[in-house]
Amino acid sequence: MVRESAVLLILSTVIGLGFAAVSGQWLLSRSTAAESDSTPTSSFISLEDAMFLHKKGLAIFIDARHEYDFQQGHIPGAINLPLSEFETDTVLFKSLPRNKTVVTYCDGQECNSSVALAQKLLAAGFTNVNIFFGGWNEWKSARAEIEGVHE
Amino acid sequence: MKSFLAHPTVIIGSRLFLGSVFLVSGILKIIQMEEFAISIVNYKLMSGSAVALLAMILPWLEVICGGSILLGLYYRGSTLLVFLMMLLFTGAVLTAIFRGLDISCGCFTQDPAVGKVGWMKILENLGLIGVSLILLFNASAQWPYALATTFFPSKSDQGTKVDHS
Repeated sequence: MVRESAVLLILSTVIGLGFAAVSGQWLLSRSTAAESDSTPTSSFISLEDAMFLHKKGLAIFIDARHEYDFQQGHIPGAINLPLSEFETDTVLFKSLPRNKTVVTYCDGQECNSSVALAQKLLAAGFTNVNIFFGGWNEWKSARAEIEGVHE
Repeated sequence: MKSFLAHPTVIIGSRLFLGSVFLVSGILKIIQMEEFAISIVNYKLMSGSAVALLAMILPWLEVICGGSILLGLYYRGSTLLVFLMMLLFTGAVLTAIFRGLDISCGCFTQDPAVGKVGWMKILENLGLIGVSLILLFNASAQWPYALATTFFPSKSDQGTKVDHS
């Protein structure tokens, strides 16, 4: 049984790595390739950076949480694009300038919808997408200005 | 109970179910390999090269094990691997739940909008672990309609035979 398992493991490794190499999906070199690639990528920003961009009005803040959470409180001026309802053919989405700096956020480090939304925005043609990974929880904890029911 | 678990219909049903689940799950991951790598990263259990290797190899391991169980070829090894994979997946989901991670499973679809992984997934996994245990219980026997015993009979296949009556 163990011998058969070892054979299957080796077979999977050979086929898996071979397929990835042949099909151009070799993920091991992807991080270094991305650095030299001219394709826009998203970057993570700190609370300080997010507050600076917000204060100076240099970025559009996009809240990836559900509408209910957004209404309970959000970063002032942020627009709500819930990841679960993400559509590219809405008037709001079409009106967003693609070359403007964008900051996505969700609840905080325990959610990944800000990262997923950033990927969708990049795919939709946005060129400067940042992820505020500390998100709403970090913003609220810093007692920064907020908008919504908790105001 | 013992004879029920060793009944040919139970073995064939378990093989069809578990084999198909792993075959489909593996194919879907191969189609979305990069998204699958992101799903692994979201679990925050490993990073860098380990994620890349897992994303490239695991889907094929699922396909090969699923196909192997369906065909009844190298089924002893694939049954053991499927059982171990199910334990690993369930452990990963459990740690995600206890750490309060708001992530999707990455089991079939890699779309994060599918929803947060939770106790329902643990229940599903327990069901799959149960089915894999049935096959593991019968691993030393000759499976009905298995290619291994039909076309490639080995010395070990001369052992216990499943009662077809």
